[in-house]
Amino acid sequence: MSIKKNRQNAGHLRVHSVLYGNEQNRVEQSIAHLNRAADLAVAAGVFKSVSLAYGDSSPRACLDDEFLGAVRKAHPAITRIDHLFFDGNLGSAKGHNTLIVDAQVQETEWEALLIMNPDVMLAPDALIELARPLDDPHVGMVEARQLPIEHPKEYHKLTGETGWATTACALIPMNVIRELDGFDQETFFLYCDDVDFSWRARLAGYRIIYQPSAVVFHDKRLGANGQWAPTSSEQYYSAEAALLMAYKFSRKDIAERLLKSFAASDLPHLRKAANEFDRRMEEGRLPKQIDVKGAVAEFVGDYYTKHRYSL
Amino acid sequence: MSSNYDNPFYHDNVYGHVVRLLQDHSAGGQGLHLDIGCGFGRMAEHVRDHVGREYIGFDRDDEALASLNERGFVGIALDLADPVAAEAAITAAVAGRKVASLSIIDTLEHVYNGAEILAMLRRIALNSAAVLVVSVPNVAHRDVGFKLAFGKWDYTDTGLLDITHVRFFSESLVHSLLLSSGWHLIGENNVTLDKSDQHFPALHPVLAEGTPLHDHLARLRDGVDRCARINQFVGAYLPGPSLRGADEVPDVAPFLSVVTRTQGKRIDTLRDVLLCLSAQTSQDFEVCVIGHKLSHEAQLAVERVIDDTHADLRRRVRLIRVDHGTRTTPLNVGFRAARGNYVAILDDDDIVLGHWVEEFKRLAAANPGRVLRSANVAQTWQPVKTGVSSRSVRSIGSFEACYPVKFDFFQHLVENATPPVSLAFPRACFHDLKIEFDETLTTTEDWDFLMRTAEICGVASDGEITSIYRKWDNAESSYTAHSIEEWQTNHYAIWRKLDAKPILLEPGSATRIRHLVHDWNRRYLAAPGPQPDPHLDATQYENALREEIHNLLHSRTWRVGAPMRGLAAMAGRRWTYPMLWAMNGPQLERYLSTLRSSRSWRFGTWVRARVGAGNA
Repeated sequence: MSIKKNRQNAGHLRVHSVLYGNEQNRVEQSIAHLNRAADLAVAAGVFKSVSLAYGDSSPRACLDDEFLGAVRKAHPAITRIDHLFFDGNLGSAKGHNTLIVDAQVQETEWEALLIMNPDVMLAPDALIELARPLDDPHVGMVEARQLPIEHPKEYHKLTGETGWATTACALIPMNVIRELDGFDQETFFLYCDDVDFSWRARLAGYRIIYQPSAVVFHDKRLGANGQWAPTSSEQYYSAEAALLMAYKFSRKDIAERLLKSFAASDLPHLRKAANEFDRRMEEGRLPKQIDVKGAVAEFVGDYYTKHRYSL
Repeated sequence: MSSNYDNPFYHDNVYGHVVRLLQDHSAGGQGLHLDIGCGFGRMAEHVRDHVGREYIGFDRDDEALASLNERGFVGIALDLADPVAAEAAITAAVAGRKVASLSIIDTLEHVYNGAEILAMLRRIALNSAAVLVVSVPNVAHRDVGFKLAFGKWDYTDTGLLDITHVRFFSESLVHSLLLSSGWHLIGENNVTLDKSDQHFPALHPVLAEGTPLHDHLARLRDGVDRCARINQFVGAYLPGPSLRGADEVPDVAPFLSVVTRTQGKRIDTLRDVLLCLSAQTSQDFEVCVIGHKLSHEAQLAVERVIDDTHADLRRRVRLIRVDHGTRTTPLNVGFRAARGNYVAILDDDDIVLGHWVEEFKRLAAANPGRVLRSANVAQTWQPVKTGVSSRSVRSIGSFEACYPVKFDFFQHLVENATPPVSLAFPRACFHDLKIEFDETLTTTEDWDFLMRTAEICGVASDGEITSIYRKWDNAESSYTAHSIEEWQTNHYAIWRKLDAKPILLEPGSATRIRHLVHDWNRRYLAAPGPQPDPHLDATQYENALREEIHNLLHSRTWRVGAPMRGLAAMAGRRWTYPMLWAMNGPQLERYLSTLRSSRSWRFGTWVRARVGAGNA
């Protein structure tokens, strides 16, 4: 591992995470990893400073003052740790947008935003490695490699360029966030807000980079025979997002095919997703269609880019 | 003291061994030899004539002292129950002369205050750095241990279990007592007896040398230490600092010790391993990173990766360098250094899920002492380096369920079907039973170790997938580093090792072997074998019933009975072929019984009897 020191104009890094019923001890473990990564990144001159903000979508706050006091004291490499209780489940896109607005009030100067799931643990050099592609102003997003289960989407082995980046852990320059006006919270609740953001960034001329040497641990488990088995709730939000992605990115053919298939499905969560899409249509709440020439949108089976293998 | 203890001097008994040690460690030159608890002092003449020292014996038995005096030696009354008075008596007898050596033979097991006595002797020996020869009987002789395992503890008038013994010693106990009293071992000449005075009754299955029980226990016992056949520990010691508590083990041991071998060639995947560990849901573990033949640069890189981890993990990681041996050597070094109750191998290119430690802990709580085995999948990876990344790796294949979910000892007799990352071994196997990795094996060392521990401890399997075994594409691994011939040679070596000793099998193994033998007989001897037992062989029994019903329904007798089934169909009782595959044992039994009593079958039998049928 080589450490690239003293990036030009190294600025402040803000880290955002949205909580929903997370265990305090796992959150603390995540903070300990971030603290060490921040320590090394600041020492290497990659960032000037690092702060952390949690948005809490839980019915009752996950973190209390005593916990926050203790973690602030124990992890001095993070300049501030904020906790914003949403008092409602805002989902992913709106949760992050709310934190972004809050950040603009709390902190004036920041160069980049790291969005990560609250159960993600950063490798010590993860921030250093994530920041390396940012020297190129055309980079709009940098995604970390996840352990123990790597995301199987394809990326270019020489450039690292990929179709989209997951915000399980991704670094985004602040100017890109401003230019794209954050995430599309009107359309997406829990899934695909990151695919949508990636594709809008690409439409704006930015490149999405997968950085295999920036490693994070995202606690995922495997079912029997090594299959990944999403819950019915995950399948519902995923199906709903799939319909909206196809519609928004001007692939009416795919949207109609999915809608027909979901509506006729035996699975209640798929029928529910179809009904929700119909309701939005009736209420005129479908998103404005973009990428009509299909410049960036890529629908490969159930995926949003080519995958190396299936999980 | 009685004449029970008046044993003659022989070169191969304890007296001969003591004199030999005194001769070997005679740097103290001429002077006094003080024999504490000397009894009849039957080695006095040999100390005088062959060691060249003036012998003074100390004992509380008048008859023994009288014998010494009669033979021209000084014998002085001494009661070790009062060490202060004893020290004064010894000092008076020495009278300022040089003490060259001391001995205390088969005495410490008769007193409660051994530590005080040894401390007192140290004070006497310290000025002239006199050597002390100590002898005590070995209570861990295999004759004593084997009998005790089966409820026998036979006191005798003299010997290993002398009725007057108040303390018993194993090797570690005697060394610990001596070290804490300030005596340091410089030489040994133990008395060895394959058959001690406790070797009775000689035909007890645990003692008789021809029995598999004795053979198995003897092999295990011999593996533990060299003391199985030692009758008396005879050691020479020099006085020095007291090392009280030097061999104490820390009270709080972690649940798991993780042993990670690295040659420092895969720093990026080593970083992955440490991240997988620091992210575990249970942090009740320590990590022993074994750096094998590290170059200076590689060592610095490994130290850097360890130092980069956050403080809580860093304090639980030790880097231990090993500069010799095969790829097996670091495992022995790591397991030896391990302090956890269980030890797991996590090589520098493996991946574990977040509950790897937690699942081991859960399994251990439910199955204490067993080898622990979680499920595992394999995945193919390859090296990658993009223009803006450091050297790294990427997955290129789906998860493959290559290995059986449950451990099967019999399958493992053929080949290994368990990657080491899915196992945790009880530390006691290695540390207490001394089951170590065989360093003559350059590959599959983990399979050999697993078989030797699984046989003794059993294996607790769980279907939860907690690890990913990385297969490498376009990168070095153990498969590319060793030739096929080398793998094969090691494979055969393990088969030979398995054959060279008795094997313990789990309950239920007899049925498994019976099936294997039946299958063999059926295939090669065309012998059908007995009918399966409905309880022991449920599956085989059900299959046999299915086969029998199937044969009946395809027999001529059944076909002859077709008119009866036609009549029944006209009456609305249409017959269809039964769903045999979906029936369990009792359902199959009922169907067979119904079939045999059916009008159709009875009619067919009646017709066939009248026309003289062959096979039904």
